[in-house]
Amino acid sequence: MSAIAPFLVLGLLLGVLLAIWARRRLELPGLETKDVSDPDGALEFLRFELLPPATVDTLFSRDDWDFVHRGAPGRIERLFLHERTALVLLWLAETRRQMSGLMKLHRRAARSLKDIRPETEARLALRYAAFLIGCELLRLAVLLGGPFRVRTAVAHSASSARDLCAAFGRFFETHPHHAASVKVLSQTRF
Amino acid sequence: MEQHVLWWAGSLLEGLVLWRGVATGLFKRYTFFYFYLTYVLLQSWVRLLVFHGKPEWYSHVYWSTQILGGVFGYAVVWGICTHSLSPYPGAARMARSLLTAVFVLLITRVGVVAWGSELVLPAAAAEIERDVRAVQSILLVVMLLIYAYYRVPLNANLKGILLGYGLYISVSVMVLASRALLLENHGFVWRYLQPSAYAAALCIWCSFLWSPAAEAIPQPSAKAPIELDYAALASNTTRLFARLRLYLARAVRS
Repeated sequence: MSAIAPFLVLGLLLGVLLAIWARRRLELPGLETKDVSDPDGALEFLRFELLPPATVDTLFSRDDWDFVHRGAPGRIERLFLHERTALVLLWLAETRRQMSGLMKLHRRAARSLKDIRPETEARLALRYAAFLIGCELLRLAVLLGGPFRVRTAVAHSASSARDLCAAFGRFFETHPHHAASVKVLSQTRF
Repeated sequence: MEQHVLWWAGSLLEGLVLWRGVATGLFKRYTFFYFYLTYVLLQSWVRLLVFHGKPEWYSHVYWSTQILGGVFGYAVVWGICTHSLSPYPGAARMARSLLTAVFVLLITRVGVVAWGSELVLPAAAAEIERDVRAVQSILLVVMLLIYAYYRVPLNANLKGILLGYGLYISVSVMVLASRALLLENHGFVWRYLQPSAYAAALCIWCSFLWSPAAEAIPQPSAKAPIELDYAALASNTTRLFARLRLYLARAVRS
């Protein structure tokens, strides 16, 4: 039985992947256009709305918590903690969504380039996977430990995301035809 | 009786798909697939003739043609890959590298195992076919991952070919792997599952290949050519993701 298990798993895996792929492709043919319809907008949103240090500092500042903790009744304290956690999770989800959108730009550009390097692409894919896992772990840490215990960590994440945005921005400035071609592709309906 | 029904239904559907392929010009566009289908149709007639004329040869003919069909299946997988990725040189190069590496690795392993096997027909043949199909299913999994990663759109015809062939391969791998178990306890399942999966694949092909679909793959606009420097693009993204990962790792530890 143990000898046939890998083959059964492989057959099932292929079947499941095909089902997911067929469902996605057949039911959501326009999915691709929604994800990266506005690359410039995603970049602006990240740089100026989600990731400025002032925004991150305010969101994760202990000052508000200390103030509530000192004088407010327990019910208010719990309500504050609940709402701040929800806000932080929303911020994290939106940051991740916008960053994923920018990564999609890379993939859409890379798929059409003749001089692509498979080993670099593979490494990049792994790093992107690590980024997504890291985001998920951070989300869990916020859920379990609360938003104020991961303040330093979030500041690091926001800083690195800012760097990434700046790099994408520089890239678009030095390769204006790239942004244009991505826009042309993103407006095409399949 | 049921086997005869499946056989005739399969032959009729194969004939129908081939006829539509010739009538609509799809045969020329997807030669790799229609060549495979023609082989399968001819193979089933040869088997029928041998079964009635020389029944003692049947087992050998069945398994040798089955293994040959599995080998021709690689042409289908390769054809889907090259045809669907032809407008995307980057994704195509990535796919070629991955598929070649996986293919060479797995086929070497399968060859070494088959060489050392002490099994005799039909068990040895079933084992070889199972391994051949398993390699194909791994290649198909890799292809699906590449399609998902690079968001490669496929037109309805290619979708149909991939869906039908993938379904057949998926079931074949499982059935061939559990051959001994099925023959011992569930002979009915062994006799009908793989042919039924093939019949289902033929229905999918009939539906998706009835008429030619427009090439859904968009060509990059001539007004906005992509003349990117890949090295710059990759190094930017790589460096920044490395930093991001470092920060997130610290975050998880803190």
